[in-house]
Amino acid sequence: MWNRIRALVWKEFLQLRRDKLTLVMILFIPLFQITIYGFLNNDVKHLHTIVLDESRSQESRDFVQAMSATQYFDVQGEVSSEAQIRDLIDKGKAEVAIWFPPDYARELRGGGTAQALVIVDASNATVAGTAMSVAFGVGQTRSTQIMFDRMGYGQATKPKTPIDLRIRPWYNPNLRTPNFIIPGLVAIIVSMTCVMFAAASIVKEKERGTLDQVMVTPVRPLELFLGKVIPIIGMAYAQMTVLLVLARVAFNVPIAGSILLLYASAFLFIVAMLGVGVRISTVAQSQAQASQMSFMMFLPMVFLSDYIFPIHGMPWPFQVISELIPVTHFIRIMRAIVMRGVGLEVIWIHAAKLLLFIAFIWTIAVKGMKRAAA
Amino acid sequence: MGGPVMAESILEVENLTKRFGDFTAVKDLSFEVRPEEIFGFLGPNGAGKSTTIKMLCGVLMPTSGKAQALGHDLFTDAEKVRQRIGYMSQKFSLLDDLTVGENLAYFGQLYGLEGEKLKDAIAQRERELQIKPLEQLLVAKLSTGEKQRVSLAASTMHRPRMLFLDEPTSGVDPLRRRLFWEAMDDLVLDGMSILVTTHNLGEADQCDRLAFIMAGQLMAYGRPRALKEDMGRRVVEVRSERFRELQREAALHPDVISAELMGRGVRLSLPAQANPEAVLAHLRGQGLAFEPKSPELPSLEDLFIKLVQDSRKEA
Ligand SMILES: Nc1ncnc2c1ncn2[C@@H]1O[C@H](COP(=O)(O)OP(=O)(O)O)[C@@H](O)[C@H]1O
Ligand SMILES: [Mg+2]
Repeated sequence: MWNRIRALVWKEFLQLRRDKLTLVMILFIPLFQITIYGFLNNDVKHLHTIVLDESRSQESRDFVQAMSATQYFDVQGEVSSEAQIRDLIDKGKAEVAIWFPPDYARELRGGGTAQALVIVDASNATVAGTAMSVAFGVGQTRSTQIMFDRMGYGQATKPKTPIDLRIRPWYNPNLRTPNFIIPGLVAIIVSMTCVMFAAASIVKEKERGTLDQVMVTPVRPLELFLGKVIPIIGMAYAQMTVLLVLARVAFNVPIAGSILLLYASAFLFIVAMLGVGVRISTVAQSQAQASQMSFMMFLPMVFLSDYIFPIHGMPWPFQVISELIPVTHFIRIMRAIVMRGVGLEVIWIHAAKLLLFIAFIWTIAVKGMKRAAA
Repeated sequence: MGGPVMAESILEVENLTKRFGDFTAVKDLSFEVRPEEIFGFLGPNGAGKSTTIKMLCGVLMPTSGKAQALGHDLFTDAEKVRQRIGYMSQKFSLLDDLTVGENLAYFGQLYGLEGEKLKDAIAQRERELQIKPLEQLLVAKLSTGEKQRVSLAASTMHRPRMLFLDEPTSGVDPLRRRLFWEAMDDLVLDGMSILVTTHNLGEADQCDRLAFIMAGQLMAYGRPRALKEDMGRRVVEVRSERFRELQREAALHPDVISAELMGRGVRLSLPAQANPEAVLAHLRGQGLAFEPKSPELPSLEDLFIKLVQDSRKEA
């Protein structure tokens, strides 16, 4: 039995070796995806900064001074309207904008809470993260100084926080850092491999009639099946490993929790997504149809899985769908293990949901296979 | 025929039927294949030849019927005979992104060959079918004739006792076709039994025995010669300058079943019990000069045409 499975697996790898396009897709999609996010840009000093100073006061100039003293912000110049800020950030000419409302100095002098707004182009998450934490630090320091000053003047009333520095990340509202994005990226790429590859390679053999020639040999259906899925499982794990190593080396995203647990739970996820692929292969009549169907599966996986868009803000029907998608649960497992370093005590619920999904999808996949065989 | 080895049959098919929805592709088919024979499965396109073979090889489930091969029930006990059955499908089904050598190794391994045994089997098949020079080529790059020989090699890696070939020679030139048949003869000498489908009458003539099927039904079954004799006819070919007049005259004669133009002559079909000389004398009496060949058995083509015409009449 194992010899036959080995022959089947060997054949898949021979085919893969000759299929340059697929090979490139498998290896380079992860690299490509990860660079798209621009994580490679780690030098976040000297961020181009613009100032919209409607208060035109010593106080506002002091704050800008304090900001540039950190070296993180290079003040490029002043602008005169919000529209200009938007324009410059959109064009990529500025990454940070500091905005003082007209009453900034007045509030400060009157002992109230003055607001200043630091706007950060957060489409590059690393940049945004740094800019925000530095700006926040500056704001805190200035606040504390002013507070001490006020107390020194012996004000009787309980002082309010002098500066309420609001930081508003644009274009990435939930501040998705590499630590946050990469687990999602792994889940999405792995599921793409499992679904598309399983569906396409089974349908290809159906289309060409090569399956018939194998069915007449002593190969049993289970062996044939394992011969198909083992290489795909291997590829999925390879991609996951490449991504995690890359995340570690290039973006300094360590895995906080147990790697073993991570890979074990990935197995559940891979089996779940393979089920989707096999199911598609039982209904699709052609390779084109198979990839269309895979793609249709793919959209909700990307948009409703909490990968890019936070799911809690969405209407409840979407939240329900999100719960039903295996990607959602695997992303949660990954984030829990990678970012928070927690173990089974937290992820078991998601693992259980993956198991439920596996039971469901494989039941209908096997039904489909039987119908196709009759 | 007969003799002491009134052999046990290698393959026995009984009332085999396959329906796709309410269309019956194969209907109540019964026949047997004997040891070390080339059994021809003859029929026009859509007759149900491939469907029958697929059922016998376990690719398709039959609707009803029985089949036994090498002492085992093909439909309930298939696993026991897989190792001793070979199948070459009508649709080319090797892996065209693998080389010839890799394909042979792949199928050899699926049939349990390994190490030295596998190497020997590959070398032997490559020698017998003259595909050694192709070993390193991708199958996708081969010509039709080469593909067919490689397919035959792949489906016989494990030396099956019973081999099913579904239109193995369609689309190749006569020379390649003859080479392929020589390879089949070698396999039979080696102890194999072959069931081969074709709609080529020349090939059918070369088979030891034939089943002629149409619309899923068995129309004629037996040795080619016996089938021709059973038609109960004789054929006389006649050459003449005035062949058109000759044809017209002959067709009017009560003993002539058919008179067809053939080149500059006429081909007359007569009942076996009729006297050809009497018919020829009658035609000479009409003032027609000609040279007759000696009467012979009808061809498979005659049989084919007769069966088609009969079935039209019934319909
Ligand atoms: N899977 C199928 N579903 C429906 N009809 C089929 C199927 N396979 C074959 N047929 C029909 O059965 C008939 C016999 O086909 P086939 O066995 O391929 O003929 P042959 O091999 O003699 O040319 C044809 O009319 C064909 O259209
Ligand atoms: Mg056919």
